[in-house]
Amino acid sequence: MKSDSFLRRISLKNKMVGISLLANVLILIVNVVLMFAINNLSDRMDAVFKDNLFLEELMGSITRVQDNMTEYLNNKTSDTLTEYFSSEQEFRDLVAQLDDDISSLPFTRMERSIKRMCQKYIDEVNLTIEYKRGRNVEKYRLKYENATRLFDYIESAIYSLNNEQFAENSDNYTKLLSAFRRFEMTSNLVLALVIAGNIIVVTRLTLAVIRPLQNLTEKAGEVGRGNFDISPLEVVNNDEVGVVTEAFNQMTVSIRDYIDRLRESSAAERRLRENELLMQAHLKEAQLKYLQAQINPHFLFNTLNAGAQLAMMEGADKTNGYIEHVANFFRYNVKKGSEIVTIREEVELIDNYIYILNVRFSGDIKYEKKLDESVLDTPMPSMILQPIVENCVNHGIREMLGEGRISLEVFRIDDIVCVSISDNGRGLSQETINDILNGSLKTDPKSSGGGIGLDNVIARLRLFTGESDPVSITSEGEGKGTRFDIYLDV
Amino acid sequence: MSEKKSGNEAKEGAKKLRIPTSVIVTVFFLATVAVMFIIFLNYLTYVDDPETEKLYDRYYAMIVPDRESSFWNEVYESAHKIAEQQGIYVEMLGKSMLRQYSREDQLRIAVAESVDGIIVVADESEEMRELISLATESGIPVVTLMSDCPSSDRCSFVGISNYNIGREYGNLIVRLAGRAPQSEEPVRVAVLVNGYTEASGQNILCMGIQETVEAGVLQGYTGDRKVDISLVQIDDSNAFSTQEGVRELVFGPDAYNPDIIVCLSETETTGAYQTVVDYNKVGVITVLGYHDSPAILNAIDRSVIEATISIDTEQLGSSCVEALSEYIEYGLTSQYITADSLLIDSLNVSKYLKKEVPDEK
Repeated sequence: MKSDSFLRRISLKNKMVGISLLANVLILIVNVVLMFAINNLSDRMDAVFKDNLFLEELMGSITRVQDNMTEYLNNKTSDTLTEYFSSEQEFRDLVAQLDDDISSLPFTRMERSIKRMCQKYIDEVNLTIEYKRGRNVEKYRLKYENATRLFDYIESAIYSLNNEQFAENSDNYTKLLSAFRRFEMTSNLVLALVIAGNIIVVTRLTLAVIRPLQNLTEKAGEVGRGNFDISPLEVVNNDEVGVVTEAFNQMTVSIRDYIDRLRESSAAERRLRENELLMQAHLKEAQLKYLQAQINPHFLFNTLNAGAQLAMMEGADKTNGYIEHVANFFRYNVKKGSEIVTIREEVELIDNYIYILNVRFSGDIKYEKKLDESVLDTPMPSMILQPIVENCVNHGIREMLGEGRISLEVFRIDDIVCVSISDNGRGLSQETINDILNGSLKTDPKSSGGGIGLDNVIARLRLFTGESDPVSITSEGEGKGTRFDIYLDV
Repeated sequence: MSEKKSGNEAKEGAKKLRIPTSVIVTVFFLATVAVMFIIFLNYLTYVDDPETEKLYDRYYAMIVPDRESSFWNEVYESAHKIAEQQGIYVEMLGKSMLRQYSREDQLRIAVAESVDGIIVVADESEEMRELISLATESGIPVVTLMSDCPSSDRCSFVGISNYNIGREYGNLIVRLAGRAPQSEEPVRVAVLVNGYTEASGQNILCMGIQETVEAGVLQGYTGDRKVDISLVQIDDSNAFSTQEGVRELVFGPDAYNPDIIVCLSETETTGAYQTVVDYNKVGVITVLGYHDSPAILNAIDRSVIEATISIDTEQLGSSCVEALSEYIEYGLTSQYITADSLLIDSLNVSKYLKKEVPDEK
């Protein structure tokens, strides 16, 4: 458990390094042991025949001593004597290396025998040389015979020992070789097993390391296919993959949030679009109603123009002026029917309209206007003011006894432009005002004369300004007139 | 639902995988190291195979005429066993040498090796006497075994009472002659003596035979039959020469044509016995043997050999070692030590055959 938590803490890089290190260390151990055994074997093989080599050397040495002695006995020169002494010294050194134990091991015992015989031989040879130098012929002959006989024994003993040792060593060598072959086979088997085990272990370790990555890939694929509704991934290891997994979890949550926000904003946009469409629909309705009322404005306009020209030719200036005003009134409709217009244009339309009415009703309506020139170019929807004025005339002034008065005011309060139309007609009850503003007051088609209804005007103004109350209607009661205020943004 | 399930499975899989991986890795690692270590140790012990070496304080050399003979080997074994207990190593000299040396040469080698003591089957030759003296001068005590060199400086002789053995053989011959059918022809007895005629032991033994037989004939134990005893020299240095000698004796141009052959060594006994079997003379020629090797005991059991003299080899071997050690330690030892001997014939051979069986194994 402890090692597991440790495993989870180390980084991906270290894990990978650890895996390859482990695999290689295992193979290294097997190899080191194998190499050690091979070295060990070669050392032993060297040792096996070392004794034989030594005996060969000893044999060579004693032969030289014997030859040099014989040579000296024959020649009796100082050169041969020197040679004899050097070979004797060499032989003596070699003999000193021989074992002198009475051992249960036959080779050691044989070595001892050889050593002792060699020592005796050296004594005999030295005596021979001494007697020869002392010209003691009889004795040196005897000693020479003794030495030669000993030489013969030693030669035979060395030869025997060498032979036996060689046989034994060969036997050992065969044993050693078979032991090594067995060891080699087992080692190879173990090596194969270790490699197989290594593959399994490395695969398992790698899988353990890779699995979180695979899980991550799977989840990423799901997210890629558009499914953000996934459970967060478990962070198994505290390594690079763990960090990426955590980041991925956070990312899916962020994406989910973002999508929610996007969805909301698109809903708002849709609503906005619906508003626009609604506004256009209302406009169309207004135009339709207007066209229904003035069947063919082009025809009417041309007709009126023709009338105006006729009046001018006849010198009837008043008629000419009247017809021109009427023509202008209609032209406005033909020209500006669907556009956003300025307050100035709307005010001009009202001027025409009032003029026409005053001609029709022989100057009954007193018209006053008070305009702030600086705001007259403020845009506003068309066909707004005329229906209101028409309403004032039809419902406010027409039925009253006194002089009807309509006043138009355009002024500015801060960022708001206010277009105010007021009459001195019979006024409206608060109930009616509320109904008008709610759009619940159904205008009587007959009484309206086919004009554009107030509900349409208010609806269009609401759509244009985006405000819920772009219009305020105030009336101080029955017979005290009505005031329409339209609020527009500068 | 399915997503959740697969997630759980993955989790379980990870859990299953995680715990064994670290355990498996550790176990695998340790197992590999352990196995390699064991294999290596195994290899080393197999290769080393150490031979325990034992060291000894003293070194005696034993010189016998025939290292292959079971008689001398038995003597050597018993000497070796006794010596081992006293920290002494007894070597059968020349056994490890490729070249075959004569006993004299072996004596010289033993002296050259400055051994601590020599056990030698001597003879009465001048050379042997000189060599024994040489050894003694070099401070090496010499014990003669079975065959003495009385005139030498040897410290002790270990052997058997040759006269008694001669008497045993004599009695046997008298008994056999008594059983033989009556005839004018004497019963011919050939006593095979080896080349060392100076060996006084053999002379004494022959004297024992002759005296006993003469007495037996005089006392009429053989009826009217005379007994003729002849000493026949045989080269018993190897099995072939012995067989050749016996063949000459029986079929040669001057064939003695014996009725009874008396052998005074193990080699002679087996040689005579082989020849008798090979030339289909079983029942015609009676062989009296020497020593109780399994082959000889078997031959007695099958009545190819009439009887044999068994010598207590164990006593011989141990006496030699003890005599040498005594001389080295105290400067004195018994001059003459005898070992027991025993006659084995068809009547008591089964007892010894049984005894031999485990030895053979």
